[in-house]
Amino acid sequence: MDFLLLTLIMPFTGALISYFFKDKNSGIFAVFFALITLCFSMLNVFSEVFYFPKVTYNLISFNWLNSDFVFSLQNDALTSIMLILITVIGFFVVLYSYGYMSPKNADHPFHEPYGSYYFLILLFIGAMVGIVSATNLLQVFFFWEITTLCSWALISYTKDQTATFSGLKAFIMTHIGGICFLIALAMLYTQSKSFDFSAISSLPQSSKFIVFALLFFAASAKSAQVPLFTWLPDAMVAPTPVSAYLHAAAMVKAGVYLVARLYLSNPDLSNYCAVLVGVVSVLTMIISVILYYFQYDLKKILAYSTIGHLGYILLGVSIGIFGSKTGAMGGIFHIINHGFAKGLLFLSVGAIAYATGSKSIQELGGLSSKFPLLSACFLVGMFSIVGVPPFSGFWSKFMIFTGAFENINTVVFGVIAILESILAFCWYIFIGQKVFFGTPTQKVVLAKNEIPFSIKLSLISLLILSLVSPLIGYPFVKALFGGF
Amino acid sequence: MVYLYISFLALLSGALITSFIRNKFVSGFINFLLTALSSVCLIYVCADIFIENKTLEDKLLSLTPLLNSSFLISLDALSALFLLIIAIVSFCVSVFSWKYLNAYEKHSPTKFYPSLMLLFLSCIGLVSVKDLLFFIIFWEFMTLTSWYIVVFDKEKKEALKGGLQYFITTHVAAVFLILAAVILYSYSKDFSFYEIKKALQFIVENNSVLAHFVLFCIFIAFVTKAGILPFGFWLPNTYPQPPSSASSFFGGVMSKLAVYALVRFFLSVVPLSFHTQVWGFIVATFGVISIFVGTLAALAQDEAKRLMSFHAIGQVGYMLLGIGVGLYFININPFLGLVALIGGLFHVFNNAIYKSLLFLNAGAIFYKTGTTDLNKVSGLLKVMPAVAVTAIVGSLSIAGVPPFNGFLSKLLIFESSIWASQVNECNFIVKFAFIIFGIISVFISAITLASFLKFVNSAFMGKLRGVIDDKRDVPFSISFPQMILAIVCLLAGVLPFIPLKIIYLAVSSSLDISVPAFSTVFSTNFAGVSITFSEGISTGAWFPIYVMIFVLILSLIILGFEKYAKSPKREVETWYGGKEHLPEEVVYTGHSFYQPFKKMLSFKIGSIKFVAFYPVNLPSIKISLPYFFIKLLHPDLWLYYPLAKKIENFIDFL
Repeated sequence: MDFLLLTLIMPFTGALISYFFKDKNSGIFAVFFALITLCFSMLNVFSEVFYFPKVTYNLISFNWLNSDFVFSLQNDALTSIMLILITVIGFFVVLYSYGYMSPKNADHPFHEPYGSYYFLILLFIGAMVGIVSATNLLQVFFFWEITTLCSWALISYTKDQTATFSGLKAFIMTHIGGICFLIALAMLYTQSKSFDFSAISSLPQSSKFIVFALLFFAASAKSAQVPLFTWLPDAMVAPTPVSAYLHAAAMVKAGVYLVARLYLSNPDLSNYCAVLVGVVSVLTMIISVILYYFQYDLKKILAYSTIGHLGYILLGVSIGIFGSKTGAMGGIFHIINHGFAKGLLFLSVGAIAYATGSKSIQELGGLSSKFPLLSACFLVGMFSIVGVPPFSGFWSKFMIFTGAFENINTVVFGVIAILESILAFCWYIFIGQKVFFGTPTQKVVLAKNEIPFSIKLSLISLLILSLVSPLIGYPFVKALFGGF
Repeated sequence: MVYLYISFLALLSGALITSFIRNKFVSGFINFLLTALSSVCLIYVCADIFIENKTLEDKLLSLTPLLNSSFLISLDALSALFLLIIAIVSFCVSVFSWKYLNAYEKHSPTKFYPSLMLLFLSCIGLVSVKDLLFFIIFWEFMTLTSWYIVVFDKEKKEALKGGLQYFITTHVAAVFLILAAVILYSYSKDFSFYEIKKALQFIVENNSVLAHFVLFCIFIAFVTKAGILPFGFWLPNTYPQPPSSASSFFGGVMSKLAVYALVRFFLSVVPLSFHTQVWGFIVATFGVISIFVGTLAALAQDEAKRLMSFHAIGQVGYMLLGIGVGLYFININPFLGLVALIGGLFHVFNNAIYKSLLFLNAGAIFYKTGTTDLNKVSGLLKVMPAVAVTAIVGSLSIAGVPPFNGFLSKLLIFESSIWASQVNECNFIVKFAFIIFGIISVFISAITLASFLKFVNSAFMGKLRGVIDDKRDVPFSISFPQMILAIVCLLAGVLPFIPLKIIYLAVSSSLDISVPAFSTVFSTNFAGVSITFSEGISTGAWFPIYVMIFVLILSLIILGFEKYAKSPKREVETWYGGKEHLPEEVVYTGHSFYQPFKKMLSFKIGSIKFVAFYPVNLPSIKISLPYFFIKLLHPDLWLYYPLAKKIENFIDFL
């Protein structure tokens, strides 16, 4: 348990320390603390999860709301998957930021002080660890709002007009979800006197659905699902490592984590819940895939694709509520596969922008001869995302499809998901060929090939990780499959 | 079985090693060495299976409980037949590539060899697995690696276009396969072919519509890859793009693997029933469409590799015709069905050999002249006689001229489709259709000959033109693989009983009904084979050795006359009817061939122009959505921003 507690504490400590340095040193400290967090979380995951299906530690007990409220941490297979995602990508994003946040950045030069940037990123890592290791909904809510706050501050980091506007928009939209979360908590507590994940089961039938729907609405705002999905594409004004981490790998995963956790803890959710989750996710997938075709900014395409893939994960969970374990496991499996692949994609787009100063599809072309590493990263990420075997996305997507066809009610969802997959594939492969192959454009010819070592290192590591992510996720998903 | 793993590992390690070597010579050599190792291992495995007629099975890894699927390797004679093809062609291709890649001076070999070896690997995997999930994985992996080879020349616009068309079309087709797989899984709860067969049996008995839908998905997925028209429209734009050695593997093996998949599914996975008959007829129909359009369109092509790509379409049509007839009759008339299936698969084998040979020929032309446009080269016989001779062998084989290998397989296909008229169990319309199919395919066979006459004539005969670099001679490593393939063409044609026996094993091992014994269908001896379509009546025979003896004697006599009769020879300049012409003006180029024919067969529908039934200018697709629909998808514009504005006004008001 020490390791889990240390995983939670280290990022906060690091955040405070790196805030006091204004120059490059703050980046060094941030990298150091992210690395320590990574080590502790790995020790935690590999020392305990393989021996115990679920471990809970009670830390502090205090009296609140006329009952003994216990602040406690837990670790099971789902938490482990999320911990791996958060701390591993977190470390590489911080490492990447060390190279990216520099005045040499051709896309948008960043000047000192960097202290607040690293402070927010590390604070965010800590909050995410808090969300995934929490044992009850109240604790989740506490950390949940910290992530919203960090997201707001990081999106508006450059402080120009669009950035502050987008930051505010993201903050308001996710906070609307947060308010629903609060209402759900109040309803839950008044009726069952408990904040446990499994407390929903003990509610009367009528309020069960309402509480679930409110929590799901909170999750869907966080995960940029219909109807509150418009903040995510706008949030792309944030520095690219922030987009990669908050808006692809980690923060938006908090929402789907919550839904998956509710599903795992409450085996008797009604079919209405499943229909709600399924319809919202499928609708999101359709909208996002149509909007792919009207984007010419690489980061925005990735943003819409993120929205669609969070839809995939939720679809998997919805199929799970309908009764197909395979589908639910596919959804959870997709969390890790998508996280690594999308993180990789964002970081490679960031590196492209760093070198060429552009993220526009029309301005870029023929990158592969000058930047083979970036092309390899983007292509691997792309094939993982669109689900070309043997890359990672295929496995989880295939499980979701399989699950969808197991139950006659979800066949429609499955067909739509397959259709989405085809459409997304067409646009991605078109963009991949357009941007990386062909004759180099003016911007690419003029670009300086000086990508910092820290960016290269994190790209290569994530490239390897996204190739092997099915192998990383497999034992945990397998444990989860047998574990409940 | 160990040898199969050795070949897997050899290719995998080769792909890893070559991705770090930038020296063309070294990485080509490593590629050659490891592919040779893998080919030898594969041939050993095949020999083992053929001689003892056994099935090797091994389960490597299991995904239960997440998905009931396992990496089930199972080699029967059908797999072994295709492993043999892969072994031969991949060896030849890698020998050829070694020096051939020097023709692409600006390109690094790291873009080529790793993906080529992974392509070999995925092909081997594809024919070895008997589990649908892993089948799909290898299938898609094959598409992926071959796509990367297609876009090898990344600055060439046509290559990118071809690659895009190829990847999107085949991926969409593969999604149909995935759809079929998940539907079947919902019944079988297991991805192994054995369980799926049981599930399909259940579906066929209880839900005929669903069964047809599943078969439709499978059919679409495979014929798209095979290049059957109209689904194979991408093929002529794609196959000419990569370096010829890779094109040769595409045309020789990859499109044949789609036929393998079709045969594997319809023979071993789909239970024999009325559905098999229906789909057999559909397969044959599409086969004939491809034969007709593909081959006719080939006649109008002036670019060697594009011409061969159209023939790839046409030739796959022959295979599908044979297989379709076989599927239709295997249940009601096993003799006829068996002969047709054997004819189809024999054609697969033959085609794999001569189609790779012809693409390699085109590659050799490119190596010497820097182009494969038949209008720009001619007379290459003088500078590369070995290539020319092998090209002639390949052309005669593809046209089905005896004694080369294409003859017998085509004969079996023609005969079996026409013999359908003698089967009492099927109705009049079907009989009539099969006879028409047979007649069309015989007719088109002549067209094939015509179009390859054009190829051989304009590339190798006449005045020498088009050589850019006199010093760049065709090295032995380029002509050697072509010789191997040409010899295989000749041997399979002259000694047909060996391939026939192998293919009989392949068909009988993949069917689970008892089929007539080999000796009752074919009576063979060293000289040839006679064929039986129904019990006890011999209906055809082909003894190439006897024919060849006479032909040889005749040619010896003619040679003798020429050598010893001392007939005078004189060389004069060509006489142009008394007028003076530049040599360029009077050359009979590739474009000049069959002009009246091309004019006769070109027509317009709307703004689309067709030459020989194949559209030459397709309008580009433009998708647009109405503005209000796009606006609907952005709730910011019509909901959130106005709402925020209203709230802001309200607060101001307060």
